[in-house]
Amino acid sequence: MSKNILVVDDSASIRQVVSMALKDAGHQVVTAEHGADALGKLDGQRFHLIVSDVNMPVMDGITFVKEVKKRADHKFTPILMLTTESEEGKKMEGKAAGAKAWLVKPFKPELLLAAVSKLA
Amino acid sequence: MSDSETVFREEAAEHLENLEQALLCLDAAPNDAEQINIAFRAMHTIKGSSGMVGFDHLSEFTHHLETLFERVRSGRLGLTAEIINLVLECKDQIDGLLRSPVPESGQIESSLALVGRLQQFTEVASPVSEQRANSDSDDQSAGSGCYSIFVRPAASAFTDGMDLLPLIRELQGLGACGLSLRLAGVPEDPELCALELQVLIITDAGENALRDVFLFVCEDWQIDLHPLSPDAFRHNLDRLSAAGWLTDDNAWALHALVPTAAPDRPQASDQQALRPTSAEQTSNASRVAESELSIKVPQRKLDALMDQVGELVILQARLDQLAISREDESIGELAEELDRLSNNLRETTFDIRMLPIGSTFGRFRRLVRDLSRELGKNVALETAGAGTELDKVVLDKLADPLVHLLRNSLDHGIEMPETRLAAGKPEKGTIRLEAAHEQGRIIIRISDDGAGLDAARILEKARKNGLVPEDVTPDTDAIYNLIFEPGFSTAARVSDVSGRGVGMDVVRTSIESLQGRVQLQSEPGEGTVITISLPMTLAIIDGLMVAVSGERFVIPLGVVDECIETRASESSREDGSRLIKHRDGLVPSLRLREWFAVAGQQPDIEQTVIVHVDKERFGITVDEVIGHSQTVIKSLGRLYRDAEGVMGATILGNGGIAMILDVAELIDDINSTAV
Amino acid sequence: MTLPDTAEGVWSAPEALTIYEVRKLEASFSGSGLPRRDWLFDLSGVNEIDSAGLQWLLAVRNRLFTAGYRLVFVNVPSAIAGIIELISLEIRQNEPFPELVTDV
Repeated sequence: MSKNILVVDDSASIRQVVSMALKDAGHQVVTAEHGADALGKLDGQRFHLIVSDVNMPVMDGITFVKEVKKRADHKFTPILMLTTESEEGKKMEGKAAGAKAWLVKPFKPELLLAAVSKLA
Repeated sequence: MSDSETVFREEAAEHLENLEQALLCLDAAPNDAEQINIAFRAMHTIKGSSGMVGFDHLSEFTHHLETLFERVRSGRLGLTAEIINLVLECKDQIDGLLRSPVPESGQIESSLALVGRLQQFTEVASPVSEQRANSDSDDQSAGSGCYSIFVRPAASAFTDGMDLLPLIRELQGLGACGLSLRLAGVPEDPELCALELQVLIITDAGENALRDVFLFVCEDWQIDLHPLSPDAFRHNLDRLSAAGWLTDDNAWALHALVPTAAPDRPQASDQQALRPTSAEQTSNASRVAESELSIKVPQRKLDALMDQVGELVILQARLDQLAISREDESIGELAEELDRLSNNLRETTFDIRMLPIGSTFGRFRRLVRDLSRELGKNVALETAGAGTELDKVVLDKLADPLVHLLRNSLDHGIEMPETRLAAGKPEKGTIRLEAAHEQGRIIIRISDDGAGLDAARILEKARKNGLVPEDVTPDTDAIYNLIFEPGFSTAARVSDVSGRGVGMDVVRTSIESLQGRVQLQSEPGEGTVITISLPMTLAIIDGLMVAVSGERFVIPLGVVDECIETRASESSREDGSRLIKHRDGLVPSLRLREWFAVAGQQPDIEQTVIVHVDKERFGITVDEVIGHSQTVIKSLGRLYRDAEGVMGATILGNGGIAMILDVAELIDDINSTAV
Repeated sequence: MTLPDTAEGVWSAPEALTIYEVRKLEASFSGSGLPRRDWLFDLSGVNEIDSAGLQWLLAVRNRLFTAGYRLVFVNVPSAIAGIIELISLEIRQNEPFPELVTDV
């Protein structure tokens, strides 16, 4: 089933790979470059899943998750965080903020798709 | 970033190597689905991870290769030598692109040129290869398992952003499911989850794949996953449907799919079924008991075990010999003890490798159904002897020949419905596939009630192909068996079904490589019977060791009736065959010395081993009978492959070699010369 | 959102039946108490449903069932038919599951 997915990452190449994998699997993708950009794109849309990076300029991933949880029309949407090995500590922080699942970069697109199919 | 770049380069190099290996294999066998998958995966992964570490150009480039292999994988594009060469060029290009995330302008140009050439193949549709699509889906019957999964999500599941439906969809994608959903009590808050899910599933994906479905759910979900024996599965199915939790259709469909004798979980719990039911559903004890019932073992480990048991048997034979030659009683005792132990070990190992042939029947049913539809024929497949066990290796290698023989029966044997009705036969044709144990061998019979073979046409064709000289007319049976000769095809027009690729000669070759024999009988208008006879295992046989002038031979014990003394004065014909007196009759016999032209002096008193094949008796005359031996069969080199009457060789305790006789083949020869 | 049409006993479900809607739905149904009668839920407008929405439908049906009435889902769009089928059985779906065995 086709899902509406928001992808938030400051790296163009990751946005590209993630979007490509998701679109290949038949999903619709909206991309944003950082948390603040993403919050702006929440309005008037319902997403089945949000995929977000942790380290981003302007608004980082953790803050973004907390903001999403404050939005009545998005607070139940599952959030999948992308992280790197060195950000292990951020994991608990993100979990406490309300993120559902984690993928450590670099990951294989299959893994992302498997996560999407379980969460959305 | 440099760290993940290193990781990426290593990963990419590995995938490129896989790609190259796969391409080389595909060059020889362009339809090898496994190799196509390897190539696809290699490109898919490089595409995905390269973009992730900033090799955007490379990611874009490999995307085109992935698309190409996706088309090949789905059967929309057939691999040619031209494509393989092009991909090899692309592989070299990727090697270059891996040096730096930012390509040089020359590299970009060559990428573009290669992409242009790739697009020639990705944008033009090619004819579909149905063959592959069919065989892919056929391969799945083995290894399916039954499971019960009970899921009670945490109350906060919905507000946590978790949804049961994707998980249900994923489970449905893994196999055939019976799903029951209930509300545990009346939810006081509609946002709190009070659902419970009971799943019965038959899948060949394995337990880990089922557990992976619940990868992201929190620890506070209750998930009880149990592998079930087919009996337990059926039992649960009945309980749920009796209580109204499954529709009759659903329950019925699942019943039909329960593996009859779970091939990879040979617990087949006959004894288990007799025990009274314990309703202790989640007790740890029962879980442990269940997991003890069967484990999956890689073929390779089993083969290694078999090899080592083989070596042990040889070593034990040497010890026996030593004990005899030294006349040392204490060594003799040890040898006897070891003999007993290695016997048991051999039997256990042997037994582990045995699987019921029925595990492959499902696949054949599917084949017959699909093919008969395709051919517009009305055919039923009857099977018998599904419980007949044979060596897994034999079983695996037997699948292709059986498929071919069934195809042949369907295509050439069974007539079109109109033809059958006109001939006064029932409209529906029958193909019977049966397996049985007979005299230490496995007999597999494929019979049809079709038109039978046309001897005149076969002979005409054989003459045309130079298989039979103009002035010779073989008997009808011999004519029928000509269809197993290389390059023979009985169909006047090459049909899509059996006309492709392999012929009946390949069937014979593969069965002979299993030390088996294939024979064909046919009655015009009545049908055709093909009989395959196979040894129960390829690795070890029980035999009677005999000697002629010091040369050793082994006669499979299964065919030996008795040994009698005979006199050398009874002369024999040139080829070594003669008649000897046995009980009140005459038994055709053959002198091994003459048959194999063994040099040396023939003793005055010889031994003749009386053997039987089917119900007929024959004698094999030798110098002396050494005794019972267990022999590890080694396949014969090229030199001996055509040696008639020999099925293999074995290495003796003293390092020498003994031939293992193929008694049935010897007897065929006596018959054809003695009559 | 359309309120239950008490005269007809037919209710047209909204586009989405998800975790984001269930609280409002529940409030609009239970405030005055769902009129006790047989109901037809017209699902033709539904294009999204999740397990929270499914649970709510099931809860409404069980409540009516307990009171001796039936709830029937009609005009189920094919996109969600597979999901609605999960609660299609005509039994009271808050009964416990029968006990199953792991070994026979």
